Amino acid sequence: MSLDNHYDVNAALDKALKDDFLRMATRRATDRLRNGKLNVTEELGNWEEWRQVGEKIRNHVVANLDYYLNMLIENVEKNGGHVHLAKTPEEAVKVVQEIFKKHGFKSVIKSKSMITEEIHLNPVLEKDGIEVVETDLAEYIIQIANEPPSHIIVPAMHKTREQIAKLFEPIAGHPLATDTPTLTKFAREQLREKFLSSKIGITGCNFAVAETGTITMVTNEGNGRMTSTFPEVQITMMGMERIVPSFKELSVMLNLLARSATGQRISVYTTMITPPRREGDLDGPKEWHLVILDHNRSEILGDPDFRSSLRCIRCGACFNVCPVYRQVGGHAYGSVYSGPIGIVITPLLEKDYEKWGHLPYFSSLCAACSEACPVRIPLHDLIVKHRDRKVLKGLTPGSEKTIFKYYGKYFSSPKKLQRLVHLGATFQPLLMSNGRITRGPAPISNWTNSRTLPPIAKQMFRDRWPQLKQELEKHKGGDQ
Amino acid sequence: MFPELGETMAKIFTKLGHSVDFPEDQFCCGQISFNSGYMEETRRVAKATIDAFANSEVVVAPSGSCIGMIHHNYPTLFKDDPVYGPKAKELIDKSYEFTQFLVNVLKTPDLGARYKAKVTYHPSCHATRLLNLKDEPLTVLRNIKDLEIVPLPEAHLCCGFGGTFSVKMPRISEAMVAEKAKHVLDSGAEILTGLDMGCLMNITGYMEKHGRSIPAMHVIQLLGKGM
Amino acid sequence: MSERQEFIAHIAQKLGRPTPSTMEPLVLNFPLFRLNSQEERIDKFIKIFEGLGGKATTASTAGEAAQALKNWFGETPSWLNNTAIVTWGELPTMARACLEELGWPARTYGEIPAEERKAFLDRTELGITGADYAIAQSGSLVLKSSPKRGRGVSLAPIRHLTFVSASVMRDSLDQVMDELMQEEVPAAIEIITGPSRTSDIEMDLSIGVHGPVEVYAIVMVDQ
Repeated sequence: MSLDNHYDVNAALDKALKDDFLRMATRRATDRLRNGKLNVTEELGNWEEWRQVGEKIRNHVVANLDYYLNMLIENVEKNGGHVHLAKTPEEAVKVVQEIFKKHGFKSVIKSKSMITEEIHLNPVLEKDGIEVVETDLAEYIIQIANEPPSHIIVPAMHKTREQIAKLFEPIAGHPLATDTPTLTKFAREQLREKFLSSKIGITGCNFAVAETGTITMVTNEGNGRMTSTFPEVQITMMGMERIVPSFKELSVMLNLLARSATGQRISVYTTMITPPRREGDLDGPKEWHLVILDHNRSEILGDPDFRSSLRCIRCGACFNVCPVYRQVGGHAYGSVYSGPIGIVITPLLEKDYEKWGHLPYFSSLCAACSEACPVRIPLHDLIVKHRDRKVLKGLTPGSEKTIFKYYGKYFSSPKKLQRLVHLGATFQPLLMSNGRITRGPAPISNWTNSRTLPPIAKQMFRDRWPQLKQELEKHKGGDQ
Repeated sequence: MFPELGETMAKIFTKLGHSVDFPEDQFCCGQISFNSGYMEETRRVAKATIDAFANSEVVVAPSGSCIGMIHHNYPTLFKDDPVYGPKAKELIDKSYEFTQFLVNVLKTPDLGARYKAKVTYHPSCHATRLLNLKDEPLTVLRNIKDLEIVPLPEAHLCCGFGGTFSVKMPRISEAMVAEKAKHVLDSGAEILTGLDMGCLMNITGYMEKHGRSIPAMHVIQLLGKGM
Repeated sequence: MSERQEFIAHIAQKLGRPTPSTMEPLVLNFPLFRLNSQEERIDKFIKIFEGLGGKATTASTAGEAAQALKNWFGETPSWLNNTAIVTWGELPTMARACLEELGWPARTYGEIPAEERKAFLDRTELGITGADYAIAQSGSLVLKSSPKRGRGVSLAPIRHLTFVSASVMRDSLDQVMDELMQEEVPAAIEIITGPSRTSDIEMDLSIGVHGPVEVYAIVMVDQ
């Protein structure tokens, strides 16, 4: 799930922090989406109440996932769909490969699916000699650029229009103007032919409805509809937790998702498909496959501390309020899922604290994510929980362990600490200039490299207290 | 580190007719080790804090993040502890951040303070989000006569302190505080105020090192100056 | 144990109890968006629909509908020819009568030979459909698929025109979902809200991507 095999956090951060355009683009994208959400949830009113209903629905489904999955599978098969259960990404990839092998298709159109990113499907299909055409405009752009998404909702927000025009140029055979209408028109024309001629399409799934065997896709461009209307064979990929019991719960979740993700009341195309086509239908797939992926979601289910993270509806609201994401963008995390939710689920899906050990620290624990989450996942608490797990597994640096050991000892015993602080106050002039602390050994230098510190007060409050107490007693007796 | 906060609080409560005590055994709420995942060490420190205030009727702190730590995280810390679980609950029920106490409990947001200055208020993340703080700090500020409060652009953004975060992830922290400092300076305020010295220290520390700076004063310090 | 049984059992084991055989339906209470009259509903729908960049109006006769089309597209649109318009097989009476009155040629999706259908869609200027529901709160149209319709009609053409009866206008999505739950589930239910759009290029809004670029609605009201 990483961008490289050896992920160098410092190099990635370095790259991100030096990229002025990326940082401006990240601010622009997140501000736009965050403000959109604020406006449209204010219009709706009672947002807290809606969040609670959303939490209730998702909790219920997650707590009864076996029951609802069973129901979903039954209904999909009853309708004539084929269900494939994949425990691992490898199994999921294999299922898709087999379908292509069986039909001999050499080209496929894809609409947005985070699952296909999670399992790294495209490179495998391409190696099999299959042309994979991403049809979501942003995914199309990053496919040509050969880059991973930088944001879960607006995956190409890190690209300038000039860069996009340059990416399109070899395909167009001539330079393109960089205005939005020109670039959009180019994508529309390029993909049109593919839409109308492709024999197979791969789609994602925002919510699967257990009661009816229905898949819901929330899109705006029309490519999701194209991919699920014209090809004769369709494959839908879904994470196994993305279920709602019936259309009733779906209406609540759609309201939460659209408003949280893009600041819309509802997306342009909310498509509820129950494939395959019915007898006599003029379009829609004749053959439909639903690939349901576990990839350690069942492990998360069995982990009460983290189970709440399965409520996630992949709206991206947490990205849009995260002050860390704002400064570094999605690529710096190194994972398919970035932002606050990415920090939480990546070490769990990948079951790997070594490779993904840096993620839980990409947070100042400001809790803006928890506040923004439409299904009330306590993201910042879960981030601390990961740090807790790392400590318990002995995965934190030795120096840090020592510091906190002494912290526990001294900070629970004020008298001991009082002596330490007095000592610090005595020696701090060595680190000071102009009345401020400006330097020091690591880890103090991590602060002083970019900031000064006020000096430790010469007299601690507890030193002052005995006399202050007397003064206050006098005041009480005298004037008020 | 900031003894004047304690002193001002003590003087304010005395003036309002309450008796003030400072249990000497207190030191730290434990958020620093909690946030780094060191739960055993946190429990050690937290128990000392809980014990220190066992006989106090009401506990008021000049720090939103400390009270936030107690209210939001002590339940989790002691959920399996039959002795300290209930004790923690007792402390939670009787502890307050200063402005919340003043506005919601004592119901005396107006202390007759007067201080002429143009300030902007930074809503510290832990105070605001963990304590569900609403208008209390601004209410207290608005009651200081002659005080002009100007809005802080993008106030909701974290300043990058996050306790250990500022030292563990210094480059990201720096990027965050750089933006926050810019917004503070753009506000046109003469003084930066807030509820958490950690945040204020972080922001002024950055400003001082980078040329233009305005001083920071905790809300309590503003009150102290004005009374 | 079959693969499926194993998969489900594994989840049950992680949840720490056997898979339940029945489930109490969730009781949901959420704030309801309700308007007070048909007029209010229609007004809101049109306002929101137009706010999204669409054009909408009411019509109580085919004549009025025809006039609306002339207002929108001109007396004789430049793009009009024998293959420019494709429609659902099953269209509201007013829609048929309107086309007749205008004398504009149109073919139904179903009457085009299957092998020509996709090529035809690529050149189509206007797709005309009915709708099963409309939603005032969001300015949405709800279209179910069926053999007499064609999902491509509301998707591929450059312009999409919908004739929707005021009697199927609802206040909000939850009402529509309640009704859909009582009906047979078709292969596709499309909830369409405005022209296709994207902000993928530098967050700059672009109207008209793969779906229709322009959307129009005629709300059919009784005399």
